[in-house]
Amino acid sequence: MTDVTFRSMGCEARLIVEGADADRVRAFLTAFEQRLTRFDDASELCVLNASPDADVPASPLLRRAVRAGLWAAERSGGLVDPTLLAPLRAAGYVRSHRPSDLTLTAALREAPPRSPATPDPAARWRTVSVDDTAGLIRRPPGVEIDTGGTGKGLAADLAIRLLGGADRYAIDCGGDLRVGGPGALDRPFDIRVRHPLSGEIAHELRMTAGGIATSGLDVRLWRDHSGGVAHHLLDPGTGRPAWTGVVGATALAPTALEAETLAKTALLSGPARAARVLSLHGGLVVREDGDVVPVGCLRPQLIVHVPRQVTTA
Amino acid sequence: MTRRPLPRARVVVIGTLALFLTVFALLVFQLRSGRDPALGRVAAARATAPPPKRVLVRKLIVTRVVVHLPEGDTVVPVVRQTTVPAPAPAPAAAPAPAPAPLTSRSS
Repeated sequence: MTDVTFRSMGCEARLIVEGADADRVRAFLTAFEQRLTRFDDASELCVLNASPDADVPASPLLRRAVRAGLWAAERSGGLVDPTLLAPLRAAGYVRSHRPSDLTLTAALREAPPRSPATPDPAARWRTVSVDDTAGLIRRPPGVEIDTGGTGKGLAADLAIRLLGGADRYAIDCGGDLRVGGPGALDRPFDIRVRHPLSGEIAHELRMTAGGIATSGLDVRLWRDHSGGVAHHLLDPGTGRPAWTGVVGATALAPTALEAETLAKTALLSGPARAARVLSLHGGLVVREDGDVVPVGCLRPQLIVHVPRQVTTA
Repeated sequence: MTRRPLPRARVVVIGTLALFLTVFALLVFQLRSGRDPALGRVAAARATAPPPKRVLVRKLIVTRVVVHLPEGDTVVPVVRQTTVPAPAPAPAAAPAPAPAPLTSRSS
């Protein structure tokens, strides 16, 4: 069994593989980051964004990543928007990984009034398209694409294709997980969900297959140029960091990409709608008062069994 | 019209106390003999009511997580339950140590 942890995509990745070569997966994740990072001007993604042309040749991996971003936008009703790179830079997210300048609790005290995020009325992501036949990505020049919102989940999903024959595997890309393999039927993976406010375990579950992802505000917090608190999850409607009243959301889904999309959508939707977003596959909603709300199949089922035989005192 | 003479204060006080003590003594006697008028009905009901029944209630909390696999994969139910079945007997070789639990966290 291989159990290896390393840095990838600005966070910590972990591979647990039984019955297959994990080195190929690690190499793939490294290449994935190099080609799709927005923090390296030489990456293929940055070349795409800098191109003055409307039609830009793109590799299958970049096309796949852009397609995943567009799928997430469609799936989320525009809340997980891959065309928010400029507002993200304006908010101060200009480095791959930066230690948080302040705690989430302190940020919540200073944050603006809470409101659910809304889609961008302009919906610029709808102007982007992928042409696999011609090997092109089409978008109006100036519309920059950020695949970071769905990159980790997509990477985990694509990596399992390199694990043919693996008996059991788990691919953890910064907390976005994809697990599977026939051996996991007998020995499912124990998975913990970390509470974004306390750092303690908010929930534990066992999985044999599928994806699970968590989106939260407890990492990548900083002060913007005006001294206000900021984080990396933007409200597409305002282009500013979203303070919705939800500080964390965990989603289960058949794939890590869908789980990541659902988790972000739930967080951006606010406490009133988050549970509905997660209801299909299940998940957790963490409100800013610290309450953890299990949703769907994660919700405890209370079964009261009253035996027919009644004993007398 | 003749006016009745007022009783003496001492007579009134003594008479009142005597009446109170008499009634009090009667009540004490009745209570000590088990014939409490206030509890009489309840006691009678107790005597006729069936013995109280004790209902045993068991609460089982079971959480099931079902994840549907994409097409092409084997459909596998994912289950979280409060009780985990014991693993099958180990083969001759010692089983590999279980890895540390995975953590889903903000990234």
